[in-house]
Amino acid sequence: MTRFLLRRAAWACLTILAVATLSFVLMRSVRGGPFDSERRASAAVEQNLRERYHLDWPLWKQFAAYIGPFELGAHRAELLGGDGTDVFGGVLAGDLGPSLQYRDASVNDILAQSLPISFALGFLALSWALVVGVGAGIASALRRGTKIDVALRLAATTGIALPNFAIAGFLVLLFAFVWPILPVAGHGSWRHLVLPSLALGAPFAAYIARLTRSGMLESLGQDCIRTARAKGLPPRLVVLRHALRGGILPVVSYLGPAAAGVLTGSLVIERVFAIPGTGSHFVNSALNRDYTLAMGVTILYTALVCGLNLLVDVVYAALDPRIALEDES
Amino acid sequence: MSARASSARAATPHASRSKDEAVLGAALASPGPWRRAWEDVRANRAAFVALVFLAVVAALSLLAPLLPLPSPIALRLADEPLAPAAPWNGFLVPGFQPEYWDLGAIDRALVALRQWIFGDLQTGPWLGTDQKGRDLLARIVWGSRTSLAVGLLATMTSLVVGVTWGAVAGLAGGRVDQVLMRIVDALYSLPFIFVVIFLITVLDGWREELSGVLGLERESLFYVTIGLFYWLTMARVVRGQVLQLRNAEFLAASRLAGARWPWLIRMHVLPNVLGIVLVYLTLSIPSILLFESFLSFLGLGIEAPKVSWGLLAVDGADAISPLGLDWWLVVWPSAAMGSVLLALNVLGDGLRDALDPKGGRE
Repeated sequence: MTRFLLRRAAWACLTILAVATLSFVLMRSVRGGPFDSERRASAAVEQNLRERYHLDWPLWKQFAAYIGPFELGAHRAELLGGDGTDVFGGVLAGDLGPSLQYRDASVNDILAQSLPISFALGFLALSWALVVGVGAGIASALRRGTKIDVALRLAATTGIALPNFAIAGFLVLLFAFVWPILPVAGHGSWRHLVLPSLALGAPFAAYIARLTRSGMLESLGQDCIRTARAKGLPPRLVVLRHALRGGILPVVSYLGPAAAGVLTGSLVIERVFAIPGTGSHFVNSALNRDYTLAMGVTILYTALVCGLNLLVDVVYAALDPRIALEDES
Repeated sequence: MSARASSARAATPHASRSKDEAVLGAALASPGPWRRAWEDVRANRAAFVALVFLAVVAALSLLAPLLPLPSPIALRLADEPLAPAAPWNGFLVPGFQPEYWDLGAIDRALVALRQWIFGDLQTGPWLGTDQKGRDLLARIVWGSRTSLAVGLLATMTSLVVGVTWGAVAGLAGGRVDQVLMRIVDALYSLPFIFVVIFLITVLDGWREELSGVLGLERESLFYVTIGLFYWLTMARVVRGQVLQLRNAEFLAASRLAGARWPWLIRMHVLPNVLGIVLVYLTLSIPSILLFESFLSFLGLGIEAPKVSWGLLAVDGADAISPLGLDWWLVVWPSAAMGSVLLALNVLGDGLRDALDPKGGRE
């Protein structure tokens, strides 16, 4: 078990490092730097900017400074004989460097500001998706073949098919204009998060409902359920305690990809609802060639997704003792 | 070992020749797996309706230049956005302006033919017009061409990469298999939309060089990028299927009966892999379409003056303002896209039921 987890963690670290390397190489090889704008600064200003952001260093040196807690600049830490204005940094030390677009903020500052917003949104979306999806899935499985089942399945298929910005558009039309009870866009109070999280969570609720339905159908047909029923357990208990435990496994293993998908979806949703989360910063950074911010977000999200997958593996093993983590094939 | 022995026994020629012939005749007379799958799909009413609907949409989008639609890009800035007008209040109205982006030779010929047939006439604003006075129906139909083309091309890319990768891993086995599948695992754990946006941004910086060399536009760049990342599930599925086939008894039997690899691949491996590939193809087109609309929505995909469903969705999102409720700009593009995606999903599920021997649960 521990060995398996350690190996997984090692793979995750390797993946993150590979992403960091690849994105660094790609970003730096692009023509047209972040300071190419319509308004060209004077040569001296440009030179200063390049020096400040170390764009004049050779690539390997920039890379080393970006990745690790190595100190390579002229103003290195006092211990190493510098004047102490530059402290150790680098991705491995949790420092993602300065933003090239927002001149007086570091990538860490921007993330510290925007990440809580995105997390709140994603958490809300995933929670309602989980509650509604599992509920609908159980109802659908217990009433298999009835009108309720057909209606729920149709709703689920529609939810999977519609792009989330289309759902967002409908929600805004309904709840901000036709029946104006919620704000159209922006950020500030909890009411601003209702529509975005609804739109963001809808496809996941639909998919979770589908997974729960098929998982429940399979687990309801098993012998242990018949035994539980035969020994006279109340039906509610049979469903909730026995059937659900097996039936929910596919949902658990879907949670990792779902969390990643919520992060992805929030790129669009944040844009629709003008929410200053990490997603909108990432899109802007890609459009503005803010190398460090784009790389920082990519690396951070890679780490998040890898961590989530690891977590899912552990939870999965805890729920289903039949799965031996040792043998992977 | 015992599996091989038993299959060898099964393949041993029997004495009773007539019985063999009877079995063979029955096998030939019974419908093949493809035929059976087709009947299954036809029996599944939802899947069949979806198939017909998709065929109609494909025909409409192929023949878009020939239809009496207004130009998708001709501006009429003087006008307010027009609300939808029912077709019976002006089915065809004069005023066609032949304005398009750079069309291919065939499309130009079709447009010329359309002008010869319908002359100055065009459909009225059945679905309304957008903020700049462009006809929404025309934009949806022309947008379907772009979006469907992206979906198909990117799917083909992912098909080639995924099937090759999975088949090599499955056939080679051992260490090669391990390494190839580990790479797939690692790629799976990437937040891949971020990586793709990142790649598109980077490739965009090289666009001038690339378009000089290969004649590539941003569009084709991102077909390729999507294709490079969407093959993961396909590779896994194909590998699993190939692995199963490699150990299948009927394959061993066929080999013992003297069949060579080309025959085996044509008669046994391909038919067994094709079904599942077709299923995943149908199911991955919707997600690629969604992805195109995501990117176009974010301003990283298709560029104006071309139209795609993602761009129409942006127009819709921009139209939502307290000033005026131009609901048709939100509703119709979403409805068009949603119905096509829904149909693809339904068809994919139907195909899975018909073709996937495991009964279709992932």
